[in-house]
Amino acid sequence: MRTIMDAAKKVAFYMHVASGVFLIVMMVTIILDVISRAVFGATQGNVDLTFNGGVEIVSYSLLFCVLFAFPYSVRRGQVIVDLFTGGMSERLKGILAGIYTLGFGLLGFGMTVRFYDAVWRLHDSGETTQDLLIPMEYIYGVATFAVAVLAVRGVLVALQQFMDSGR
Amino acid sequence: MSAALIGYICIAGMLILIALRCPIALAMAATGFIGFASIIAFDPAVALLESGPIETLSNYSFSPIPMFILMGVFASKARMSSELFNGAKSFFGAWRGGMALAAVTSCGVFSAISGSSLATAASMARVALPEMKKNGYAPSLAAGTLAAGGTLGIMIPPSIALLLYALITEQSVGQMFIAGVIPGLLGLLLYCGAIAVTVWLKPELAQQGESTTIKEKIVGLKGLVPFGGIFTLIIGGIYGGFFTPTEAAAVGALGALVIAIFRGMTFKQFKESIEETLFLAAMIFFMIVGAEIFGYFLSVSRISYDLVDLVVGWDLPPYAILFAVLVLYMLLGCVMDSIAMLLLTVPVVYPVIVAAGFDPIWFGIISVITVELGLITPPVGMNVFVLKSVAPEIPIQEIFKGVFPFVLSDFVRLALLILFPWLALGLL
Repeated sequence: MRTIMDAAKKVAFYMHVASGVFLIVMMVTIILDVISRAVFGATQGNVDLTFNGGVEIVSYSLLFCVLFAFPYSVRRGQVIVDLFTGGMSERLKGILAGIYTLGFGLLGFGMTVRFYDAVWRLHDSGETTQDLLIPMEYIYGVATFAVAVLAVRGVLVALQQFMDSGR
Repeated sequence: MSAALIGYICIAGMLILIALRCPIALAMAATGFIGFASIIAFDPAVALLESGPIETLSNYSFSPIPMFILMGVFASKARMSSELFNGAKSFFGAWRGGMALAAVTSCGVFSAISGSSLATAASMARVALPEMKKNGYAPSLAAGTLAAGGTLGIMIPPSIALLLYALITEQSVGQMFIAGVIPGLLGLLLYCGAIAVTVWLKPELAQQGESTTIKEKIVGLKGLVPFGGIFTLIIGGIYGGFFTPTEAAAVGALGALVIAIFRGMTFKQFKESIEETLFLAAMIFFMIVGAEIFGYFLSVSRISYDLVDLVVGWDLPPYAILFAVLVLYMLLGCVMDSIAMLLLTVPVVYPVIVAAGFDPIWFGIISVITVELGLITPPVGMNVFVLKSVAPEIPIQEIFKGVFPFVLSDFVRLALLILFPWLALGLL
């Protein structure tokens, strides 16, 4: 069990790293877009370095940046209100935390099922993105992987929280 | 059972879940899913789990969020706050309470490149608090000033709260930011006024510092340059129509990175910045996804329309409606994170406010200021907890005591903005 938990954590960590790369890609793409547009304007169109698909690169980078960040942040990156539970025992708090993390696992599972269905639907329809003509099935495929890891990690982190609350 | 009744039951369930420590993102998503399934059917509710997250997370309009966070984190890591504080100190430090004025002014300037109140409070507190304590400032005044000063980050653009409000209500992000400039500066001025009055009434709370020469003052201005540069680039770029908010965010993040590199940022710090940004972005986007699913449920439950009908039926004057909404916000602000609160309440409240005839952008400013109050009012007061984490030896009640004059000044600002809406809308 410990090995599975460690492996899932490692996968989530590498996805977190990839998420950082997507964040940089977003920033660089927008900067290049701004620069190329400025050059185009300054040279009255004589130097045209503008490129198509900038909005798509940014949009899908945002998608992957966030989805890839979710599995690693499932435990830490949550906002809770702890005003009314000050007197609650640590054990009960741990159990509740486990139940809620399991909820994120279920959310991830639900998304995985829907995204997976979408992959096949998009495979059949052959739908692509508008500018870069990237097959949508690939985008959904990567997204399916990300939310599947969220589902697995949600369940494993919840188990860990249940075990910790029992100690 | 009517859709609206199911809606109210689900919302009551959600509030109970939130009170039982359920993460707000999950509470919204679960309520949205169960409510939608109860009103429409299970299969369409499952379909929301595909359309909701994909549409939201690949929405170009949301892309400034991680980049504005990145910009603020770079600025924090570059330790630009110390230079800023020293610069402000050279101007005000000689006066009684001058260091508090320098701290709150620095917070205001730091806010110009940090969209987050917590980041502003944390960054400035690390620099200013030890020095204020060393110079004989009362812990309550020192910590209160910094906790309150940090809240300027939520209003002075670029602000993540204003950005989210604009996206939820489909207003122009650029206009929203520009509308935040005067209320943000007004907040800064009133905070300075609050310090002046506090020190005038209780001189023992603050000491006089050493006076500085004109040359030292001019040298001190150096600390303002990077902030002024980035702020001008962002707001000037949006106002002048050169950039979209997304582009402004990317340019601002790059600008902050370049400054950070020139100030000796290491690769390790760069990685830490990215990691911190991702955690914060994941936290916000978890809530945005939850709010998206919750939003579908709100639409089919028709609660907002029900509320509008109800309020119209009561025939209340518009300002009574506004007052009720603001009281609700103040109460919620005491127990809930500001971003979560906006995501949760704006979709419900916004139609009521628009139906009452208020300007949506003006209401955005008013609601964000009200939400901001929750950052420094008990019992939750996130900025107060940030200060507590920086200075654990100061009792929390001392910090709350210290923020009291600033809470009063926020009420004055709120009143001024309600009486004179052009303060927010004048630059548009």
